[in-house]
Amino acid sequence: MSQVKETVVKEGIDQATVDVTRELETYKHGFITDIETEKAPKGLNEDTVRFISAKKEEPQWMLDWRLEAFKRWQEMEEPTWAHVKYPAIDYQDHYYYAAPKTGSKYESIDDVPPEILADFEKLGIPLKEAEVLLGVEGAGQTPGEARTDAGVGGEGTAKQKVAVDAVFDSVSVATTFKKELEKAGVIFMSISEAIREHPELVKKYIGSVVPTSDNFFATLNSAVFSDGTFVYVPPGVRCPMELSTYFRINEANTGQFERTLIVADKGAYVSYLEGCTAPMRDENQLHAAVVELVALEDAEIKYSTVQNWYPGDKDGKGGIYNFVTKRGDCREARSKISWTQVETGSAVTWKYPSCILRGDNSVGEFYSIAITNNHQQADTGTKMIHLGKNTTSRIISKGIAAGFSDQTYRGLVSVHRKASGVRNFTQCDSLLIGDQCGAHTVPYIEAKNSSAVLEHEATTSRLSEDQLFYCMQRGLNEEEAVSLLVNGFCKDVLQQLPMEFAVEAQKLLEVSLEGSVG
Amino acid sequence: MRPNHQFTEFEKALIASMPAEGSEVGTILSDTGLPSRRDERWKWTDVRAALREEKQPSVQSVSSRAPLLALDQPIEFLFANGHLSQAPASLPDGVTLSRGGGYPLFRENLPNIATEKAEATYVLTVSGKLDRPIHLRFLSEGSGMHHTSVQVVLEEGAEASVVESLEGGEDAWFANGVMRFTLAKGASLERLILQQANDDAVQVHFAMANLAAEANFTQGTLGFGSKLCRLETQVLHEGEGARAVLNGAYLLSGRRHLDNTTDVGHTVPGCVTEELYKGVLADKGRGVFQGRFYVAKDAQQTDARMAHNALLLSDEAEVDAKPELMIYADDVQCAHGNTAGALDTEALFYMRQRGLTEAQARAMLVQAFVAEAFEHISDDDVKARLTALIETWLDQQTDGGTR
Amino acid sequence: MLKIENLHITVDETEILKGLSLEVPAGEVHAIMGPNGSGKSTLSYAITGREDYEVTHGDITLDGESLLEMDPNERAAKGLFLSFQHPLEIPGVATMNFIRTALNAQRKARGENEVTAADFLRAIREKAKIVGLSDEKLKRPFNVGFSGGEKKRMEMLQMAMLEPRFGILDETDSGLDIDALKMVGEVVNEMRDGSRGFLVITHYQRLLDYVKPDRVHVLAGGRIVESGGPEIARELEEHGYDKYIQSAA
Ligand SMILES: Nc1ncnc2c1ncn2[C@@H]1O[C@H](COP(=O)(O)OP(=O)(O)OP(=O)(O)O)[C@@H](O)[C@H]1O
Ligand SMILES: [Mg+2]
Repeated sequence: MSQVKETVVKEGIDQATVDVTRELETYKHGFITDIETEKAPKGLNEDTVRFISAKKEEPQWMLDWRLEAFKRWQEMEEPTWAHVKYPAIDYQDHYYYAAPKTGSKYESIDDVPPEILADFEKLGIPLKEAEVLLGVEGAGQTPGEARTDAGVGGEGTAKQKVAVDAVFDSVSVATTFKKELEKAGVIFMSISEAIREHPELVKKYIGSVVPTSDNFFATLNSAVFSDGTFVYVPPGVRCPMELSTYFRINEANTGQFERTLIVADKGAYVSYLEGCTAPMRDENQLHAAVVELVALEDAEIKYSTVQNWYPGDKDGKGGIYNFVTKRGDCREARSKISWTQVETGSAVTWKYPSCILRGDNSVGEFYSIAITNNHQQADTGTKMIHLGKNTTSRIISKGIAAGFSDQTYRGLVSVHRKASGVRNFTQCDSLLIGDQCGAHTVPYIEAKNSSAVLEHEATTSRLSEDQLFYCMQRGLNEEEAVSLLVNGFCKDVLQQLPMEFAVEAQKLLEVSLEGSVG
Repeated sequence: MRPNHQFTEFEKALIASMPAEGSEVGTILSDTGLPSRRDERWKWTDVRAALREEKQPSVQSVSSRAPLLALDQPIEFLFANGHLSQAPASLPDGVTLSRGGGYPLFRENLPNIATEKAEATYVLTVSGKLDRPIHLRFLSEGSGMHHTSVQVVLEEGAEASVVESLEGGEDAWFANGVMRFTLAKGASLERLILQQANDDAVQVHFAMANLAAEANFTQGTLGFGSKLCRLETQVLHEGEGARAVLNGAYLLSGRRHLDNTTDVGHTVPGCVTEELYKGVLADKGRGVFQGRFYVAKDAQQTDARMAHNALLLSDEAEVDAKPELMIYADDVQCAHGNTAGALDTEALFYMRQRGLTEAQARAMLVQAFVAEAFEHISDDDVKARLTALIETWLDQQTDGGTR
Repeated sequence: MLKIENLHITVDETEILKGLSLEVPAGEVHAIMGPNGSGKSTLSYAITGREDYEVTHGDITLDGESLLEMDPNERAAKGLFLSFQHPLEIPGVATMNFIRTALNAQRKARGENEVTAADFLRAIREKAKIVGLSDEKLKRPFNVGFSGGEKKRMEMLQMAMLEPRFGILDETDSGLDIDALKMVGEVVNEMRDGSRGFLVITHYQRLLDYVKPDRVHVLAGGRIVESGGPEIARELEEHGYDKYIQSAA
């Protein structure tokens, strides 16, 4: 285990991660942090739920809510419609709670065990506030601005701040920049803290977008969710910095069930980044998160994910089962929710970040890059539910399948009877690298209003031989050429990512595709 | 057996009518019942819900009626409520009619039921180039149910055109038909399906086409829907260089429902599939389009394109679409597109500024929209007659005051 | 013959025309000039009855009859023709069929006999020659793939075929080569018979060299801010709209 460095800039971390990557060949985050943890007994029953709730010193209403969900879950069947195959999960063979033994709450960042800090540092997430001044170029750019060459450094000098909440196995270990956010009135803390400190807000919004009865995995999450992040941005406030959470599964056989709830009140804006990693383990680990977004009148939420859970080894051994329910509710007029995801990890992914466009003139967006290699399977996409008038949505999905992997885009665009003036544009492109993989597109389009204008396009192709040859003739080796062309293929989505993530994401694309050619 | 499956009266009677022993089809039926919204492939076309009451077998005769599509010197076969009641006294050279045995089960059970319950599987075999169209008229009447099963075999290099018209009188009949097309090497078939029925009838018309190398299968569909109608075509490219065209148009008014489902499998290299469907929805019409391209690992150099465009003329109409790609080969060109929207108001204004009435302008734009789906039809007379059928439909819309 | 009184037009909740008055007597050609976005096309759409161009005040009459309650096709049958600034492409619609349907629909609305296919064919061939469109172009779907200039020629062909009593030419000259400009002049001058009227919207003097206007109006800020003889067009060519924009604001 490496030591904590006093000052770390982004460049340094990148070099370190690149080195680690070389060592590990394909998965750069596969190291295990050596700390003692406290776990709930293996298995899942009502007592497990009570144990988790008690550990978190939750009020009675929260426990009741969990128990009700658990009861429902016991009557539900695991869904089978997705185009993924995996051995039956034994839900009794997982731990549902694990926390670093020293206790989950730290008075200050200095109390966080150095092993954990070092761990996060290796992931490129400096927790110490002093270290958070990321050395990112392209200063002055606001999130969401188009960037064409995110990977190329500019002349910028100002640093962009990112507040980070880090979730380690089941618990949130530290949240940075708390004071500065408080000044702006932004609440950014772990959901366990929020349940204690802002019960009225949590009670009002939790389960209001993804009800406890929503689906098998979401219901399971409702019963046993361990921690997660809560964000509330008050009316008219533009959150002064990017908010970020890093999720990490460390313990073996531990399920991770985070719950994220983000509320942007009237006229508020927030950009939120989520990153995920897990160490290499032979057994499959379970991850079933729920993310709920609520945007009120004129509010905007931008949610970006770089998902890099351990995908399993070359032969498909190990890796995370990632069954996630993410949904945003554009609850009032002119609100906007934008999902951007870069999915490179997990052995099995089942994930459909969606938007309920309830408010008139609200906007939903989904930008996705999914890369699968080796024996990975991903079934991912989005749902755009148009309920309000003049609501618009845009879906750009880029799927790259390599190795023996199988990938599906599954999406729904639904226009309800009363939703006049709806617009949707969907573009789904798939790229196959090699002839042992599969790429599938399964869009559902349901229109019940004549004024809707819906457009859907999808293509499947492979990298152009001509372009590959051209690049190689100019001196790139095959992997470099593939990486360059894949980056070009994904450009429309990469542009949507906040700068720090775009750089990370581009590197990730390269790493993910290693060994896929030649 | 499905959990909590409550059999409807219709299902119970149908199950009871199956042979008691040794019927695999019957076993599947008593296991799963009729397809319903709980089946992914039938989620928008719930046959089970549309057929709840018990139905008797239809009587084997119908009143005569003028053909929906008048053809030039057709070789006409008339199926009256499932019973082959008229066939040409003599068949031209190169065409034979026989009765065939069963063939392997389909993935869907309704065509299996049709095969099992039909009075026979009629097999038309064509060799050489046939210059007259084969016209299969499926006429339905009354409130019973009936089944048909027809097989068309084209021998090596054969050429033929087959028109299937699904027509019927009033009443709540249920017609369940299965077609099987087998095209040998280099054979060429032009298929046209014409469907028109009333508000109470339920129709399922299923076809499977197997294409050998260099075979050409061209299909056009014009449908006006019924209470519930599903026209399904499955195509399997089994020989290199085979080519399939699947085009169609549907125009639905009232409460008519029409489901066009296609499933094209590419299992060998170098096959081509082109698919274009155009839908026009008025009143409470409901259109369903499901298209699937499957490209197997070995089917390199597949070129497959699919488009579905729907025009919604009413705020109460609905269109549901699922254009699907399942691709396992990398050196392929596959694409699909889907659009839904209203008539272009700018074009409407432009045309009315020139003096066209709103109805005229709409009709002209709808005709233009639909015409693309019939461009592949080589016979200009047939094309003109299809246009006339569409015109009639459009006239009914304006007469009925729908817009 | 065309009379517009205190016209207020609102589009998408924005008032574009704010009390415009204008009169074009029978037999005259009037030109309208005005800066981009001043509402010239809005005026032509309001006259021809386009949806979403809401008349909140005022009236438009043709020969004393108010047009406001009429559908676009009724106005067309009354003899109103608009040459669009941006003519549309209508894929799938055959050009000849479209023009003939339009002609007969108008005639039917006026209680006149339909023209026979032969007469129609003869007429359109002859007029197509005048506007410079080949037979091949007439066989294509309406305007599909046409160049900007060809689309304008197609507008003139329709005007010549439909023989309106009042023609509005919205920037028909933009995108046209010199020969085509002359052609527009020919078509309009041929039709000028003492009873027809024309409203010619343009940004340039050069069209007015071929189509001599009786009067020129300047439209700015949603109103006619100046009217006068042809000299106004020349003045504008030299000095632009500065003084009107200030006075209108
Ligand atoms: N459908 C519409 N919705 C909103 N605003 C519109 C609409 N149509 C026109 N406008 C606005 O009305 C104003 C007048 O437009 P119009 O097209 O009449 O100008 P114009 O005088 O013809 O200009 P040009 O010389 O560029 O052709 C412009 O500001 C335009 O943006
Ligand atoms: Mg204009």
